[in-house]
Amino acid sequence: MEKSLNRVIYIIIILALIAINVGVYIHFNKKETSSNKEDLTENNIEENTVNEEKEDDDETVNEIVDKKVASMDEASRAKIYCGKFMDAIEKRDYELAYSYLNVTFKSNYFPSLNEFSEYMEKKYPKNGIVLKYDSVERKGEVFIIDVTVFDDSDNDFEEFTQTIVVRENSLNNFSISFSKDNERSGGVE
Amino acid sequence: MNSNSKVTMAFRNFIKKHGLKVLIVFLVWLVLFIINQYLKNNPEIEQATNSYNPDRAVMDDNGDVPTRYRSDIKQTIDNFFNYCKNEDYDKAFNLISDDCKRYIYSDNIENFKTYVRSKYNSNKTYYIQNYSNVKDIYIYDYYIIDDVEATGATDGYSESREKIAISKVNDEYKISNQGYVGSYEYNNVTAEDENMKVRVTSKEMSYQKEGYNITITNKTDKYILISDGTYTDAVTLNIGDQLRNATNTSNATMVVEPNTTKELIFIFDKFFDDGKNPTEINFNDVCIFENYNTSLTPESEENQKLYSFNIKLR
Repeated sequence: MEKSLNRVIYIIIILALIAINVGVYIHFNKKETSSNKEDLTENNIEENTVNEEKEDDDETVNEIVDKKVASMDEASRAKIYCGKFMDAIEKRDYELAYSYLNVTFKSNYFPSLNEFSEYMEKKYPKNGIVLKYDSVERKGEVFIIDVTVFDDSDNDFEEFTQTIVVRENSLNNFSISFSKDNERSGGVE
Repeated sequence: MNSNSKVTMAFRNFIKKHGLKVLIVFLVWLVLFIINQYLKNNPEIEQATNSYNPDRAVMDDNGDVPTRYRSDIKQTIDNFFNYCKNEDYDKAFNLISDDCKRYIYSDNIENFKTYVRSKYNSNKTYYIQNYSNVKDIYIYDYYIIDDVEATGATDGYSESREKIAISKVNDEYKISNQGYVGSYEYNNVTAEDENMKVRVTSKEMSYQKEGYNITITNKTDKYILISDGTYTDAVTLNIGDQLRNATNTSNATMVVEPNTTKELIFIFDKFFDDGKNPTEINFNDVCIFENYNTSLTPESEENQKLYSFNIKLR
């Protein structure tokens, strides 16, 4: 009688542990809903659900992008970082592009965002920036990349060559320097 | 006793008997749970592969720089670079090995300054790559390059490369640069015949060459010609599976005058990290002349004797 009661108690304890594990798992994996959950109409619920899904998607997309970039060889990653810099230029997000610059390079050549913006505005194509990667060389912890810059939508744009120096501090954390000509060459006259 | 009391009693007995085990199981579960939550909330950061590993030997067979030495070696190189860049010549020269000071700079810091000024300025930076490691000597490729991050390579950039060797001397790492590695002293390595006594005193090792310091005593009253450039293999180094010709004899006349002692250097191509141990030096075309002038060759009639002479290095 005592033995069977002991067995019952064992089973109860095990079941209790399982129940606690499942309950805790569900609790910690459940997304927080709005604090006004009780006031939500059907539309609000749908909107919030969409927003939550969108947040999920953004996080998932970033994770996927990180994984993809991490899986690339280092030369390809260096090109990706060049592309990100040029992407910011193309979108006229000069503040973002400026934030990518190597600190010493910035102070040497573009002490202010204005100077940087003016230079990039004059130098680079107004529409689609296309880069042709001529060479990628590793020199210690940096990459030296020679590119040719095109505008694929403007035949009048005179292509030009440029050297871009990329340092990868960690995945997707990088700094950029580039060869700056004192007299404007290339670009639209 | 009713059934409730029985259950209560059984439960109490259970706790008395197995309470400790239950507690241990619960604590183990709790620890695993906490660890799981911690790992879940601190996901592994994606790491990108990076081929640049300055401590990995390019010549794989020689192994990497041991982990326990890497930090000190890098600090030594970093200090050397910064001293050179900042024109702190005394401190930089102090990091050079004694053999290197003597062989490359003739123990003269002015020679060192001339070299540093030709390579370094305030706009330079550097990087290194371990090349090979032989016993406790670590060979690096040492690149001095314009600071392209600061300039964006706006006016192009220049880069130089040299082999440096680092080893510990009296608990301190010292650098041998410009391709020089170090010196090796031979103890009682001699050979003798009726004409001469030859002693190998030492060798100067660079990454790609070895130079043997040899003292030759002419025991006769005749001229002994070791090499005059007639034969490219007049002097060879036996490295076991190959004979290497001396590289500095083709345009030089190496003759020892009667009853004199002369110090000569014979240089051979040999990589420091090739794993080969030279076994002997061969004088393959020793000539004896009553009277000598540079118009005479081993094939001249005046040559009284043509023979080989070998010096075992071990």
